[in-house]
Amino acid sequence: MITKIRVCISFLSVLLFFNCKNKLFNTKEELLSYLSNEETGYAQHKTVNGYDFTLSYRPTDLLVTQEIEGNEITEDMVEGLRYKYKNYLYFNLSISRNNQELLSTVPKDRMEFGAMVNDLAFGMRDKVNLFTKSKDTIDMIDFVYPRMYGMSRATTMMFVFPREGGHLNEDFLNFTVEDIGLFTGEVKFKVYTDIIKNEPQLSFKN
Amino acid sequence: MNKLSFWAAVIAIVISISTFLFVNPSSKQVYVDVNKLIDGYKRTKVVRADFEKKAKSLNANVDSLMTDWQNELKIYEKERSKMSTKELELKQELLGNKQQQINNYQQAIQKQIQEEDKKATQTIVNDINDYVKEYGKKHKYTIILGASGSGNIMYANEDADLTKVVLEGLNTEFEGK
Repeated sequence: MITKIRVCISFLSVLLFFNCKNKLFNTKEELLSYLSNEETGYAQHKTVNGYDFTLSYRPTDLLVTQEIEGNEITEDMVEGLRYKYKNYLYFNLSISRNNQELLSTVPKDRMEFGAMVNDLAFGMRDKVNLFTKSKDTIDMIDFVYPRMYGMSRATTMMFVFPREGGHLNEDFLNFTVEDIGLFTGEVKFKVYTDIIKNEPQLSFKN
Repeated sequence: MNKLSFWAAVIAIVISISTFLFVNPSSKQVYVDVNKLIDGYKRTKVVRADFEKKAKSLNANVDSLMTDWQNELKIYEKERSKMSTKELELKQELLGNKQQQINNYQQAIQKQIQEEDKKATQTIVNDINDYVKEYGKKHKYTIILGASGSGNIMYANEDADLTKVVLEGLNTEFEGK
């Protein structure tokens, strides 16, 4: 009887170990496809007042592969870049209406256009917040808004926050976007920390 | 053999009933009272207070401009008998223009207040929508109806009303507990 219980416990431990292990992907495309699946929790989508909001988490290896693209991959290089990016959390936020960028669809005149460019380029630090379940704010390190001049289907910005162990011990983080003149109110996304702790990786093998 | 069939039938019935009651409670028709959620949600008070503060400060600007203008008008009425026709015309034009400017400003402020109100309300609605959606998914409900008191749900049993439990959860989450 005791042997049977031991076997069961060992089996469950092995199962648990494999479940908790980070998922490994061979190519960037496979990883991107996995991340874009809302079921995984890495991408979340919301529509408020006709505006589509998509928040996607960008794991460390995605940034690593972006930097080494086109170069010969060495283990040292990968480890060096993983070390460089591992202390930060990267999120992409896309906002669109009718599959168009905000600047192509929201401003009604030149003044509104200028104000929105200003908000997107410089004001998002005050509009986007990341805080824990117990309302502990994680200060934004930086954000970037690349102008696409109407060539993209959404206005996409990347936000960088420090990856602090303490914050990741809570169940989830709240990512909020205050109203940027779209009458959407504050839009909130819950990012569960277990998906960040067990983020998928790339194998980086040639 | 007959006894065996009887017990098999009893077990089948028990399993069916438990499945219906415990495994899939989601098929129940349930609802939340949206107005009660908005009123009872603690963030509503916070957002409303912020909005009222903002609206008060915007209205205060208009009020002070109006007071200035009224004082100017009083002075004009007091001194008009001493003014020449040309002076009277100029002063009237000046006061008229000023009144027009204040009216335009007041309209712009009212528009801004309405916009702020809309944003504040939408924030509350977003929070409620998010929570109800999450609650529904977690408890595997197929549908959660939103009653707004305008007759879309005419009758529902008390058991079908999730308002209290959703409101408690919503407030707990807002308080960060």
